[in-house]
Amino acid sequence: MAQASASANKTNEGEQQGGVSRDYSHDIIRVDDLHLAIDLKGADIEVIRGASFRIPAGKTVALVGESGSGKSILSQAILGILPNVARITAGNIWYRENASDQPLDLAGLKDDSAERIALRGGKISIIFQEPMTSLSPLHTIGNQIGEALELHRDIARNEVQTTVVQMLDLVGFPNPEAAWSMYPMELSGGLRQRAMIAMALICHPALLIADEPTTALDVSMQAKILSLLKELQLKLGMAVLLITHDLGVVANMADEVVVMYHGQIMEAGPREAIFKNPQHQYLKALLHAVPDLSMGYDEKLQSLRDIDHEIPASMIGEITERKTHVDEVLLKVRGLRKEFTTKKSTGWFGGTANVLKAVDDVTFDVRRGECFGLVGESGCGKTTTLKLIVRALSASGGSVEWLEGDGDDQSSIDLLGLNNAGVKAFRRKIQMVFQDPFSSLSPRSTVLNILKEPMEVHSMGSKKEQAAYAAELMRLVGLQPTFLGRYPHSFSGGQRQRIGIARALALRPELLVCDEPVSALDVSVQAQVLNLLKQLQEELGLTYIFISHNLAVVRYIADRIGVMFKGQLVEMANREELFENPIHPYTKALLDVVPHADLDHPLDFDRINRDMAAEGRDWSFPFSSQTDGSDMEMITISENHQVRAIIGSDPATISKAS
Amino acid sequence: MFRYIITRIGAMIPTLLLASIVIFTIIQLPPGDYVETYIGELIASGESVDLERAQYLREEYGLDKPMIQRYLLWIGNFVTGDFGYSFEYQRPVSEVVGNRLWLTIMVSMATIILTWVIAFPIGIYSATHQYSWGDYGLTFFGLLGLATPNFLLALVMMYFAQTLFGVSIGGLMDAEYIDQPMSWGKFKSILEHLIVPTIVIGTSGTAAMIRRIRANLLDELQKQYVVTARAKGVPPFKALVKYPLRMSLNFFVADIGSLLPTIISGAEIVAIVLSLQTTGPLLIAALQSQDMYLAGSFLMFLATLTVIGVLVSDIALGFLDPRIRLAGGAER
Repeated sequence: MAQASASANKTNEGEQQGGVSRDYSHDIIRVDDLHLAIDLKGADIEVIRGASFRIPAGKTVALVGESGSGKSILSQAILGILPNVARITAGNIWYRENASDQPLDLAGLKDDSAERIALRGGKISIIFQEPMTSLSPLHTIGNQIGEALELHRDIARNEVQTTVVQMLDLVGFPNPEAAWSMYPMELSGGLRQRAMIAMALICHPALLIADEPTTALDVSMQAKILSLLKELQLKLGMAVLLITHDLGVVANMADEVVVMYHGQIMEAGPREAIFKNPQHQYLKALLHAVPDLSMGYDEKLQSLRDIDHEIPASMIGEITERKTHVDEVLLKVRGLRKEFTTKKSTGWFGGTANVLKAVDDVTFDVRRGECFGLVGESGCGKTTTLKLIVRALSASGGSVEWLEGDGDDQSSIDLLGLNNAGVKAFRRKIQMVFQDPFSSLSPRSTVLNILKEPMEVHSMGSKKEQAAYAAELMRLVGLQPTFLGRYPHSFSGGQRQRIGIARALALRPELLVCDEPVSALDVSVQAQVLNLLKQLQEELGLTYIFISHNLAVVRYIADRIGVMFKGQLVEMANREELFENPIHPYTKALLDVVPHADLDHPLDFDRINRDMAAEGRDWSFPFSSQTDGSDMEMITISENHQVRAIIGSDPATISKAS
Repeated sequence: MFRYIITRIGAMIPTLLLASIVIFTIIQLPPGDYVETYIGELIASGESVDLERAQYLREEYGLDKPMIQRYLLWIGNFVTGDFGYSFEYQRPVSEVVGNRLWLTIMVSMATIILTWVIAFPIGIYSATHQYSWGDYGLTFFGLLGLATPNFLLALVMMYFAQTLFGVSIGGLMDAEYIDQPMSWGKFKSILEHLIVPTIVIGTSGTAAMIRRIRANLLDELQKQYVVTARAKGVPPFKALVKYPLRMSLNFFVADIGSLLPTIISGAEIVAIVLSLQTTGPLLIAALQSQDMYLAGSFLMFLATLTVIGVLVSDIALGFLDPRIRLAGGAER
């Protein structure tokens, strides 16, 4: 390993001489054979085992690895914010701001020593993954950012506000003066992350540690934040340590890549070498486990750890029956609408009510045996649409029809018109898989109880049969029936999500509604869960509605895809058609911001910045409404392709206009 | 916010009305009335009682009227500031209670201040040094304090004060000062007598407070924004006080609501054991002798103060926590 990093250093030095940043000829951080242990009830567990790498001044180094590989704790060690139980057992972290400075060993300093405190936030700062929780809810944005400035710079009180407002402007706040006195809860996730970036950069640090800065954001916001980071890096001339598990982000951002696995550095080197010629098994596997827009449509993802599962005998009968009806329409959604009223409290005497159209005239069919994908940014109404279909929310208008049987004895059920008893009976046909496998399983129930509960609610079989069926469900998702007595906390994220899938399948539903089922999972298990879902669909003859903000994931699993924007479907097409021939400007923009995990398709950051300035609808004719939106409809381009445009537009002109 | 306060005050009226009905009904529940108790006492002390006098007393106090009428009379007068007449003391309720009120408030305030002064540093220490020997030790003593009944502690302290130091610690001042005008000597005497009741009454409250501060602060210490503050280079003490401590104060502010009634209720049982001239023993005696206007009006004070206290802490929370202030009125 030491060898790997040594050779990496050599290549980098070669590259750097001809590189852009000639002023920065030294390494700002040099981690040398670092060992770090966590004290777990008296027993030391070594989580970093001899890591060595460097961060050249002014460059971006990406630290890649799955959760638990030690990448976050390594960044905490550099910053000096290790949790109480963790300590550095051996090795050095050499820090040198300027080439002429004496290197300072950060590993030898106490976390709360004056030198360390002065460095933190002043010379080295960090942004975190979770913009929702990393700011204090009780203090204004201005207070929190200004605090960093007052701590590290000798600055007059009255200048603090001007400097902070300038910084807020720089990170792209639409109204920086107003943001000064706003609280984090008044801002969206993207703006909070910008505030966090402003806080980290207010003192112009020499090194910025970005710990999964875009993982909690959707693709368009991710592209904007990445572009912002890149721009600021150039402006301020700082080095960036980018911690991520998203190889697409790495390919677009990093100058050098360090790959970690189980506390050790597997591979390190310049970006080109890592992507073109990966050496280590783990890295190779990782590159094949990530769904990507440039892979073939029928290519299968190689999961890092494959799972075997078996179909219980009791299910096979239904399956053959179900498969005979493939391709008939199962669910008809027509003109679905949902409005929320939010009261904007302004002034002392309440305020005006705001009506938000969360779902606005959404129409689509789901055919038996297919997977219908819904994509869009967060807040576009995907999840609300699902909740309306499963009757978790009540719709403001429109209809949802469930079709059964074939030919003459076809019958339909109006889902939105069902009474409570009807809804309960109907839930046996539609079940849901949730996004967060950690909060969607009760920590106080055993897996057996979790799987049995739906059967108890719907009084399926005797107690004995239920337990036996629960064991079969476990095998169905590739888990040991012996795990039934355990509690959810003893499982990993991927295993928990499989339990969530087993629970959804307990009632033998025909339609499975999946709400971002893999977005909370590590890339290495994403492939595993996606493959499982794909196999189960095939083997059990299930129908899926699958929503995600990750286009690559939807492309991997869905047969037909609808693109949503601000509560409306703007384009709907077969998978190949949508990705090969996107027509609507929004779909195109969405495809443009997906970072590819290869070097041949870099993100166009200039364009993203331009689009950012023109937030909102300035789409060309005929995609923009001339009035309040009532002049728009879905226009059929071809049999399986529809686009939202002005009523009566000619399909040919639409295709051309794009 | 203004609108919120108005609606909250509006909601207080039915709450208090309901409370008054419950209080009055419960006071009326035991069989008999004050006159019966009074006559019973007279007989027990060997005096002869004439039934006509009993009838006269009943009429005089309005005890012969139906319950609903008595209730309306009482609550109607209560609203106008006439809290009724104490049978036992032969004086208006406001006078009987008023005499003891300032002593009660003094004991309670001293107790509350002692509780905060001890509980805050210990709670913060315990939370920031979780699972250290210091934490375990303080937790042990805290639980001990929580588990010891106050009145028992009062008895034990009285015993030791008597046997070891030869002083009597009962009462709130030396006997010679009772009913005397305020003087330097009386003030000193009161302060001396205040020490033991304050400690006795404060023990369990302090222990409970330590546990709550520790638990709340521990929750907050694990939050991401604390790491953010450290990463910004905020010195450890300031990072503790400005962020997690401030956040964990929400429970404390919410607690202020329940403090108001305790300030005037004056730890009843302990007050009896230590023979303090506070309102606590007064209330118990009134309940025993069915001195119904005294008991009823006093309980009504407590109910009113509880409702006002809750309102005050809700408003204070709104001012302290922007999440509560700004999310108010939003609908899902």
